[in-house]
Amino acid sequence: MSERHETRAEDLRPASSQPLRFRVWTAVLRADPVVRGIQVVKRRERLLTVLQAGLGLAWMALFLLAPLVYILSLSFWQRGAGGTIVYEATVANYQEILLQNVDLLGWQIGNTYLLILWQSLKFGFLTTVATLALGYVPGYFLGRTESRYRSLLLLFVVLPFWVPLIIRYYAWILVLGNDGLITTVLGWVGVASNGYLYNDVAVVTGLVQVLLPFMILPIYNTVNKIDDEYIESAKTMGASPLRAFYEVTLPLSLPGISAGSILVFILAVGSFMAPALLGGPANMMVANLISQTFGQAFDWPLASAMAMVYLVVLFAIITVFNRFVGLEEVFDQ
Amino acid sequence: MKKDGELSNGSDTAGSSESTESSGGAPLSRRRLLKAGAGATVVGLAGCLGGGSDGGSSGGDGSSGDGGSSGTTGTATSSSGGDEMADTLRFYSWGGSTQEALTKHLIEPFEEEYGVTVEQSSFSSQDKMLANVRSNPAGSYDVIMPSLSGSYNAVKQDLVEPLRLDNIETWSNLLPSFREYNPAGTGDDTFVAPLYYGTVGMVYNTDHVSGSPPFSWELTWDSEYSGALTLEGFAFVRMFTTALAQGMDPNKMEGDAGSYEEGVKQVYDAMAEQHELVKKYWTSGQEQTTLYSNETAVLGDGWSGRILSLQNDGYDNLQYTIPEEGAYGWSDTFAIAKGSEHRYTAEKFIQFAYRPEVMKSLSPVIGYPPATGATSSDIEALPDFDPTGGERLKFQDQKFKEQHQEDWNQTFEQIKLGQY
Amino acid sequence: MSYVEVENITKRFGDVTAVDDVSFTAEKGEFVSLLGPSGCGKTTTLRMIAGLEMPTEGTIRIDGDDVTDRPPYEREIGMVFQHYALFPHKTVGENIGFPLKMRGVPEAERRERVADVLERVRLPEVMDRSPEDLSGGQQQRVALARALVFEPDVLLMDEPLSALDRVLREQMRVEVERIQREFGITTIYVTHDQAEAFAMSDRVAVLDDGRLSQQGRPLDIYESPDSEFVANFIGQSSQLSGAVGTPDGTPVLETDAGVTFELPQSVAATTGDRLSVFLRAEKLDVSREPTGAANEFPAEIATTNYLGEKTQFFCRLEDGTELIVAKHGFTDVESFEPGDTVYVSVPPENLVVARDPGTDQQSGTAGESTA
Repeated sequence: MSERHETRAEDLRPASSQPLRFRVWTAVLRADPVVRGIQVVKRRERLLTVLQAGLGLAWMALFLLAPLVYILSLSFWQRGAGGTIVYEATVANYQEILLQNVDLLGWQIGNTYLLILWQSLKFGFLTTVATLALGYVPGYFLGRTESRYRSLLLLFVVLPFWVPLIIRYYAWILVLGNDGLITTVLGWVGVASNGYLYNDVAVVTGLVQVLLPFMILPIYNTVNKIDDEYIESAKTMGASPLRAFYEVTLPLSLPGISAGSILVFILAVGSFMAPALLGGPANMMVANLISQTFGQAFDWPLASAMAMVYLVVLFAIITVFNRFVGLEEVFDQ
Repeated sequence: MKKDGELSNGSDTAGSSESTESSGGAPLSRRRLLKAGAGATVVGLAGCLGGGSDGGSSGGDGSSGDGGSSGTTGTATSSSGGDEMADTLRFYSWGGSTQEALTKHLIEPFEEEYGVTVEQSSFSSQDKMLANVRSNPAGSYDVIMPSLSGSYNAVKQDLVEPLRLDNIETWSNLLPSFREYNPAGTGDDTFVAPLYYGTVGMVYNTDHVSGSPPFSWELTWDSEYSGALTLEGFAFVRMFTTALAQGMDPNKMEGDAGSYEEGVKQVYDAMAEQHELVKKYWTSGQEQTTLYSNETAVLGDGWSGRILSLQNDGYDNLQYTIPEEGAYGWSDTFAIAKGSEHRYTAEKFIQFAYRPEVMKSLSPVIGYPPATGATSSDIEALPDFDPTGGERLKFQDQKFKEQHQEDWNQTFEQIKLGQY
Repeated sequence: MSYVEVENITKRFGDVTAVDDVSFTAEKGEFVSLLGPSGCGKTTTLRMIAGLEMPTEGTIRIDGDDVTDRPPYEREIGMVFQHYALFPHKTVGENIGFPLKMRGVPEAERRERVADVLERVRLPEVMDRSPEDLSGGQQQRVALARALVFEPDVLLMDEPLSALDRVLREQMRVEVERIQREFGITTIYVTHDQAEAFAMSDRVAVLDDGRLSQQGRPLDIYESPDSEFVANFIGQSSQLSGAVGTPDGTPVLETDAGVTFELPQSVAATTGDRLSVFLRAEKLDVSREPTGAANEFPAEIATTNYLGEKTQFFCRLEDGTELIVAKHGFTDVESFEPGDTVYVSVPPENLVVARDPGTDQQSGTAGESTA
C-alpha cells in the first residue's frame, strides 16, 4: 500500500526525493549476480539470434540453394541412352538452347526454346497488365474503405486460394468451352460458336483469374497504409478527388503496384497448367517445355540448362525493373 | 507427364504434379485397410474410372512400403535369394481406376491364395515411377509397372532384374507377339511381362463424321474437320501415326526415296499440314473426355478405355476404331525392380496374373484386352481386342525412337509455333 | 461582419455528437486558437472549416461567402496538418508548388513563388531535396510555406507543433507567429497546449466536450474564467468548495477543508450558496510566519519542487487537501523541509469564484474578479 502511494507521489513530486531510491536501485542493479545474470541472458540472446539466423540460412541452403546447385551441375552433363546421364562436362546444352537456329544478323530466330521463352514472357506481360487493370480498383477500394465488411471482402479475395489450381482451370473449361456457360448464353441470343477455349485469350483469362489476388493484396496493403492526411491535404490545396488520386494516391501506391506486378509476372511466366489445359496447339510455355524435356524426353541435362537460362533471364528482367522502381523500397514497406 | 500413349484409363492429367496430394500411399499400404475393403474406397476416391479428377491419384508416388511393417519384411529378406515365398511383396503400379481393378481382381486373390501381404503404392506417370525407383534404396520395390517404352528406359537405366522365365509357369500363356519382348536389345534376357495392351486409335463422332469403318487416318487431314480435331500431343506418337498414314513403316520412316531423311521430311510436312486443323493437342485422358464429350472435337485419336466409359455414360455417338493403316500400340507390363528382396515371390505374382481365370476377370474391368491368350465374350467386346492375337498391333521400335526423339520433339514444337 | 463566421455548427457521427452548437468568429488577420483537451471537438471544428467534414447543422462563412457545402478544393484554405502531410514522393519545391500547380500557375512562375515563400519562412536552398531529409522544424516550415504560397483566405493549423520537442516547439511558436503576422493571414489554430494558445493568439476559444466554453482574449480567459471547466483547464490552480456564511455580516466562504475565505466584493453571494474558489498557484503567497494578510491559513509542506524559474510548494491542509503554490524567482528553497508549517495567503481580489455545478444551471460563474 505505502509503496503504491509513494510511486504515485513521486510522479507529482519533486525530483529531490528520487536520488536515494535511484541510488538504491542502481546499487541493486549493479550487484554482481544481477549483472552476471543480465550478461548471460544477453549472451544467450545473441546465441539465440545466431541460431535463428543460422536455421533460416540452413533452410535456404537446403531447400533453395542445394536443388539449384544440383540443377546447375546437371546442366553440364549429357544425356545417355534411355534417359541415363553421362557424366562428361559439356556446354552443348547451353549451345543448343541459346545458339541453335539463331541468326542474329538476319534477325532470324527459329530456336524453339527461345521462341517459347519469348512467348512465356509475352504471356507474363499480358497477364500482368490485365491483372493490374482489373486488380487496382478492388485493391484501392479495400485499402480505403472503412466498411466493417472489409475483412469479409478481403476473405473473398483470398478464398480462391482454397480451391486447387487445377479445379479452377477446369472451371474455366466449363465456362469457356463448347457447351459451356458462355456459348450457352450466347446461344440464347442466337450467336453460335464453338467455345472460346484453346487460344491465347483463354490462357490469359485463366492466369488473370488465378493470379488476381497476388495483385490485389499488395495494392490493398500499400493503399491501406497511405495516410488520409496526404489526400486531405491535397484537397485543401485545391485538388479535386480525381486530381488528388492522380497526384498523390497513385504515386504512393506504386510500391504495391510493382510488388504485385513482379509477383504476377513471375508466376505467370512460370505457369504450367494454364497453357496445358486452356491453351491451343501453339500455346506452350517454358515450364511445359522444361517439364516435357524432363519427363518425356528424359533429357535431364538439357532440361536443367533450360531451367538455368530461364532463371537468369527472369532474374535479369527483375533487375532491370528494379533499376526503375527500386525493389528495396517495395519490400521495405 | 506421361511417358507415352500407354496411359491406362484412370491415371494422369497434365497437371497432376501440381494438384493436391490427396489420399497418399500410406493408407494404401496398410493391409488392414485393404482387407477391410476400405482400401478400395480410398483408391476409388483418388481417381475414378473414365472421369473425375484423375490428377488426384498422384499422391502415392513415394515408396510407402517401409513404415510399420518393415520389421517383418526385414526378417523375410533372409529368404529373398531362395526360391521361397516371402511374406510381403512391394507393388508399385499406376494409380486410379487401374489400381482399383488390380487390387480387386489380382492382388486380393493373390494374397488369399499365397498368404502374402502386398504393400501397394502408386504413380501417375512413367517418369515419376522411374525417378522413384532410381532414387529409393534397392529393395524398396519388388514389382513395378512400366509401359513398354518406359521399360526401355528402365532397362537402360539398370532399374530392373531379368525375369527367370522358368519360375513363371504360365509364361507360355503370353501371346506370341509379346513373348520375349526385349526392349533394351542386349543379350537374351527378358525384362518385362506385358499385362494388357491397347492402341491410340481413331475417335469419331457419328453426328458429324459420316461413313463407317474401316476408316483411313487420311480423314484426319480433311479440312472439313478444321478446328474440331484433337490429337495426342506427344511427338513420338504423332510421328508414328503420321508415318502410318503416309503408308510408311513407322519404325523406319523411309519415304518413297528410301532414306530416313526424306521420309522424316515427308512426315514433318504432313504433320505441319495437319496442325492447321488441330483445335487442341491432348496430353491426358481427362482432356480427351472433355474434348469429345462437349463436341469441341468431333474427330481425332484417343484411348479406347476412355471412349468406352463415355459410351457407358450415354455418349453413343462417340466411336473408337483402329484405322486400316493400323494404330500405335502400347502395353502396360510388370517388371521386377533391381535389388528386389522378393524376386521369387514377384515371379510367382506374375505367374498368378497370367492365369486365364485371373485375366478373364481383370481385363474387362481395366478395359483393355489381355496380353495372354485368355478370352471371353467380355474380352472380345473390348474395342482394342485383336482377334489375330496381337499380330495386327504395331509397336514403336524404342531404339529407333531413342535415336531420333530429340529431333522429333524439336520439330514438333516448331510446327506448333508455326516456325516449321 | 467578421471575416470568418462559424455559426451554430454541430457535427454528429452516428449517435456521438462531436461538436455541439459551436459559434465563433475571426476577424481579418486575426489569430484565433481553438483550445481544449483531446476529444473536445476542436479538430473536428477545424476540419469543418476546411471542408474535410460536412457539418450536420450550422453555417460557415468566409469573407461573407457561405462555404458550408463547398468541397475543400473549392475553398481558399491553407491547412497545416499535425504530421505536416508533406508528400514523400515529391521534392520540397514540388510540395510547395502543389497548390499553385492545382491552380494552373505556369512552372516558371511556380518556381519563383516557391523560392520566394521559402525565403520568407527562412528555409532557402532546400527546394530540390526530399521532405524526408529535413528535420522536424524544417518540415514544419515547408508545411507552412505550402499552406501560404497560394495566399489563401484562411490558414488552418491542427496542432502543428505537437510533434516537435520542447525547445524547438518554443522556437517554432515564435516563428509561426512571426510568419502569420508577416503574411497578415487570418489564422485558426487548434491546440491542447494553453501556453501555445496564449502566446500566439489574439483570441482563444475554449472547447469542452464538443461545446464552446468561453472565448476571448487570453487575459480574459485566464483572469476571469466563466466556468469551472475553464478555470480548471487553464493554468495551475487548486479548488476548494464550501458554503457561504455571514458570521460578521459580510459574506465569507466557509470551505469544507476548514479554511474561510473573504470573498471579493464583486461576488454577489447569499448565505447558504455553494461556491468554489480556484486558487491560482502563482497568486498564492507563502511565508514561515503569519503575516496577518487577508485569507491567511496554515498548511504543512508536503514536498517542494524547484523548477528553476519558479518553485512549487505542495502544501497540505489539515484535512489532507493539497494546494499548489508557485513562487517565481524563489531561491530559499532548501530552508523548507517537508513537514514544516507555513502560512498561505491570497488577496480576495485574486480569488476566482465559481458556483458549484448543479446549484446554478444558468451561468457556471459567480466571479467577476479584478480585471
